[in-house]
This record gives sequence, structure tokens and C-alpha cells, in this order.
Amino acid sequence: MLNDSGTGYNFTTGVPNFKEFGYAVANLAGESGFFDGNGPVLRFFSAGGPVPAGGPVPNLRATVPGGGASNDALWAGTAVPGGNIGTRPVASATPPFRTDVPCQNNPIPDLNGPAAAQGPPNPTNFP
Amino acid sequence: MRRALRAHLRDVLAIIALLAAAIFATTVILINQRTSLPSWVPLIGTDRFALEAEFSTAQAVIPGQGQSVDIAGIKVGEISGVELQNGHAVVGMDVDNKYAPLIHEDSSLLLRPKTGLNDMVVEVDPGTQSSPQVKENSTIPLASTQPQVNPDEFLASLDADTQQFLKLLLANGATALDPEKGRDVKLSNALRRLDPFARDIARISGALATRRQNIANSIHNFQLLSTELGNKDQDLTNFVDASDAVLASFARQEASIRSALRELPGTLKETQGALTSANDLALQSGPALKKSLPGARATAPALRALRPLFRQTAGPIQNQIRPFTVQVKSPVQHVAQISQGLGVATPGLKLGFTSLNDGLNALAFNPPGDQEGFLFYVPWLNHNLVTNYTLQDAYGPIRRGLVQESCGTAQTAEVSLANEPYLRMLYQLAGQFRAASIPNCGGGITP
Repeated sequence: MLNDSGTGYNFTTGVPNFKEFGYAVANLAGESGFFDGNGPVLRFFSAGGPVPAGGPVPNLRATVPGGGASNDALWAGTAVPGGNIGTRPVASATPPFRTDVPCQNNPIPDLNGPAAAQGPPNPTNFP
Repeated sequence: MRRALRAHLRDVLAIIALLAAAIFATTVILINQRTSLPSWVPLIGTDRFALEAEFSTAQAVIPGQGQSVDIAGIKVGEISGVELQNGHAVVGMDVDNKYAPLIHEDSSLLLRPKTGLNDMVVEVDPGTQSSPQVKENSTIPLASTQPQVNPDEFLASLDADTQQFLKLLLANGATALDPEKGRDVKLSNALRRLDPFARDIARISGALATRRQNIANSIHNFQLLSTELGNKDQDLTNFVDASDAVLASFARQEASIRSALRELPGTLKETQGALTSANDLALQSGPALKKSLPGARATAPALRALRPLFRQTAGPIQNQIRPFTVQVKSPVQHVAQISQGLGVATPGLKLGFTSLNDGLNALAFNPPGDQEGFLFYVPWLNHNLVTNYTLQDAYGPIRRGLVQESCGTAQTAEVSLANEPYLRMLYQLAGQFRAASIPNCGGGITP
């Protein structure tokens, strides 16, 4: 069971993770349950607002030719007055890709360990 | 007479004692003499083997003086007499009976002085074993004897010139070995230095003698081999004929033999590898078989215990399993046909499962330390996907999203929205960020 709570939020579901997978599949089906004569419609809620948040594109391989620093970043506005709270799990480097270690020889990952801690907001908030 | 004896009894006894003492002394003297008495003499007579030999001269031979008859330096008898017959001397000899069988008819005799005073002895070469033994009282002929040759006789046989040369030789020899000048000592030292050389020569001679014996043995063995081969000439003929036939067969099979020989190195190489593996297997299997001995001993009681089970299962096997086997024969044949296609697909399946295994390994890999692997993020994906649908209405769940844009996109949207009022309204409803709010993109905020 994952612990996803912090200052100002609590997203812990209280159920085992395999059940969350079932909930997620049900929500995926439910978000496209609305339909018309052309077929299902995906319902989407924009969380945009006046509070700016943004920053450089993560893992950007090449800058936009002639675009300048503003075009090498992505920007959005959030509706929450305080802006984004953070990211969970914390953003980290890409895990190593190793196929030579048998899967049964690896320890079970610690789902509520240090890697699951709350990280800084991304995109970055601007006052 | 009796009265005279009684009157002079003491004198008579003294005379008898003196006579006994005289006889005893005579006997002792005769026994210790170098001569021996004939066999008919009581007590001290000895029986000896009588032998005669003819010599051209019997100079200094005096019978009865203990002149001996020797074989290899051992006294075996004595000279018993000498007489003149037909112009040459006949020397009689008494040989001890125990030595008589040593003397054969091809023996040779030599008269030699034992001392510088010509105390003569007869040296006997006893002859060979193949010759019969001499008979008692027989005479060894003149051809088998050799008398003593005196130095004056030897010198008298030389002519005048040789005698002169001999005198010069002796005079020069005396000068060369003059003791006053120490030449005799020098010669002695020189001869003494030859001693190591002589020892080496003796060793070489010994080796040569051994080699000679070996060569003789080889020749003898070769002679035996040749003789045996000579006796087996018919067998040799048959062997040569059979070899000829075999070689002719080989000649006819030359191409096949050549082909086989070309394949022989590869075969030998494979055989070597197999033998090496077999050796390793043997080395490993020895201890393993020793360890399996207790198990093998234990299987005998187990097999005996299984006999009732085998008796009970014979009926079901015969009445049930065998008919069943006959019935499933046809389906099994179909399965075999299917298995052929499965065999073709197996390499691809193996590759697919191998890739799947690699993917699962990569997914489950958990690096050491605080960093987590891909498998850590799968449950969090589930969780974040669920919490992404926290909004809902009567139509169902709604996904929350945030649209990000770059400065250029916002500026392009500003131009488009100015000409399209309904898009501008949609833009405003979505709360999308305006270009004026982006830092360094039309003023407003500076990051």
C-alpha cells in the first residue's frame, strides 16, 4: 500500500496497489464513456490558471534553432494559488537497464522508501 | 734257556724296549721323508698311480729326492725313477690317486727347474675333458713332453754374428741402465708411470673381452636362428607366398587405402579428444562409483520387495495399459505430426521467451543504494493514474491535465486567437497561459 500524503494533500487510497490498478482501468474506461454519433469522447479537465509555472524542458536533446531561452522551455499556468506542491515519486535519473541479473535475485523495491519521497515541483513555480 | 732268561730278564726287556724305540723312530723318519713307500709296505706304504713320460733329456732329474709332479703349481705326485730307453729318457712318476683322473691322454709335460740349483719338477698340463683319461702304467710320448732348455744351449744355437750383436746389445743395455748415473731408477720411474695406462688398457681389454663374448653369443644365436629358419624353409616359402598375395590385395585396394589414410588424421584427432574426455570421465566416475556402492547394495532388498508389486501390476499392464496403448497409437501419430511444426517454431519461441526473460530481468533489476529500478515505478504509475481521476461528475471520471507551451507557441496562439473569437473563448475557458505571462516572451514576468 502506497503512502501518498503530505502538507496540504492526502492521496493515499487505503487499498493495495493491485486494487489501484483495477481502479485505474475502470477510470480509463469511464473517462471515455461519453459518446455521440461519431463515437466515444475523451473528457479532459484543464487545470490551467493564472499562476505561472514552467522551466527548461527535461532531457532536452537540442535547443530550438533561433528560438532563444524562452523557446527552450515549456510554460503553463496553474489554478492553485500556491502553485504546484511537488512530485511523487521524486524525479531521479533513469534506472539502469540490466538484463544479465536474473529477476529472482533482486530485492523487492521499497515502494515507500527514500525514492518515494516528495520532490520539488516540476514545472517550477514563479511568484 | 729259561734259567738264562730269568737270570737276565731285565737285560732282555731293555733290549726289546730299545728295538721298539728304534722301530718307532724309523717309522717316524720314513713317514716324514719326501719320498713314499710302496703299497706292499705295511702301515706306511701307499698305493699311487704310476705313470711314465718320455723326454729328450732328463738333465738334473734325480729320483728319490722328492722332485715333484705339479699341476697348476699344486704338487700331485713325485718323480719315482728315470731310465734310458731307445736313446731318450723315460721318467717314472707316482701320482696321488685323487689327482690321477685329472690327467688325460692329450696332456703335455714340461721339465722345469724349481730353484737356481736345477731342482727339477714336472709341470703337467692335464689336457682337455673331451680326451680320455690316461691309464695307469701308460707312457706319455715324446711329442707331448718338453725338456729344460739351458741358456748356454740357447746361446750355442745362435750363429757368430748374432752372438756378437747380442753382446753389443747387452753392453749398450748395461750403459743405458747404468746405476751410477741413476738411469735404472729413471727407467723404473718411467715404467711406474705406465701403471695407470696399464690399468686403463686392462679395463679396455676387459671390455673388449666382454664384447668378444657378446659377439660370440650373437653369432651363436644367429647360427641358431639360421638353423631354425633352414629347418622351416617350407614355412618361409608359404609365408612369402601369402605375403605376396596380401600385398597384391593391398595394391588392388590402393585407392581405398589412400582414401582411408587421408581420413585417418581426423579420426585420430577425434579419437584423441574422445580418449581425453573418457579419461576425465573415468577420473570423475571412479569416486562417484565408489560412493554409489552403498546405494547399489541397498537396491537388492528394494528390488526383492518390489517383486510382489511387479506380480500385481502384470495383469493391469497386460489387460488395460496395453489395449490403451494400441488405441492411443493413432492420436500419438497426429501429435508427432504436430510436433514437427512445433519443432520448426521452437527456435522462434525460444528467442521470444529469451527476449521476454531479458525484459523481465531489466524490469526487476534493483540497483544497490537509494536508487530504484523500473519495477519501483510501476506501482506508482498505478497509484498516480488512480489519483489522476479525482474529479468526476454525472458523466463519469474526468482526467486532469496541464497543457504546457513554449514562447513561440503562445505568440502564434495570440495571433490566431485575435482572428478567431470562438477559439479565444475556448482558450480563456481552458485557462491556458498567455504569451504576456511567459518570462522574456512579451514582458511581464522575469524568471
